[in-house]
Amino acid sequence: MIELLSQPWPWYISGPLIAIVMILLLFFGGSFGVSSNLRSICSIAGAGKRISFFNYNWKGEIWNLIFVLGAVIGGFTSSFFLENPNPININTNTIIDLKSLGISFDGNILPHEIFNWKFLFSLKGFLILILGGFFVGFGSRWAGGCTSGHAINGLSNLQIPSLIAVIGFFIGGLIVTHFIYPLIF
Amino acid sequence: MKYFKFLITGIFFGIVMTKSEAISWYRIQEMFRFDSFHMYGIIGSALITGILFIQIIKLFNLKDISGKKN
Repeated sequence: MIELLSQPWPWYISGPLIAIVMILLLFFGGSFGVSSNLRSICSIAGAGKRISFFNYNWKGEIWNLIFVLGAVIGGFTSSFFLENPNPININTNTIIDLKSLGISFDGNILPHEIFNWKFLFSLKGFLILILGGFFVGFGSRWAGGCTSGHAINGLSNLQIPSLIAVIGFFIGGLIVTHFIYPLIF
Repeated sequence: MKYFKFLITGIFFGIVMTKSEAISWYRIQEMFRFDSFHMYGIIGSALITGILFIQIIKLFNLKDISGKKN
C-alpha cells in the first residue's frame, strides 16, 4: 500500500481529490481559498489599525490558517513517508530549455540553484525571491484570490470574475516564462 | 475540537498537492511551455469534478454542517 501511494499520483486521481477538498471545506462551513490567509495574517499582525481593508473579524478565518498548517504537515508527511524514489518525470524539452537558462534538473521537485539560502542572500536571488513573493501576495489579494480560490472554487461555481482572473494568471505565467526568464536567468 | 476537521482536510490537501507533483516548480514550467498535459489534467479534472459536485449541491439544496445553505 505504502509502495503504491509513494508512486506519483496521476492527474485523474489528484484533480478529483482536490475537488473533494473544496467540497469538504464547503461542507464544514469554510470555502477553499489559500491566499485569503495572507490578509488574515496581516490583520493578526495589527494592520487593521491603519488600513480598513485589514480591519475585520479575522477570528472567523482561523479555520483557514489551520487548513494551511495541515497542508504543510501533509507536505512533510508525503516527503518523509511517501517519498517517490524515482526522479520526477519532466518532459525533456522543458529540461533542455531550462538548462540553456542555467537551471539544471536533478530529479527533485525544485531547482537547487534558485531555492537555497546562498541564492536568497545574493542581490539577484533576493530580488527574484522577495519581489516574486511580493507580486504573488499583492496580485492574489488584488484579484481577490489565487489559483485555489479562483481556478478551483470560483470556476466550479461558474464565476465569470474567476475566469477573468485565471486567464490573467495564465497570461502572466506565460509572459514571465517566455520573456522575463531569458532576461533574469 | 472544532478546528480538527480543517487540520485533517489540510493534511490531506498537502499530501495530494505533493504526490500529484502540482507543487513542483518544474511541473509549472512544463505547463507554461506546453510540454506536458499533467497540470492541465489536474486543474481540468478538479474543475469538472468541482462543477459536478456544486451542481449536485444546488440541485438537492444541500446544507453544510451548521445548516447553512451554500
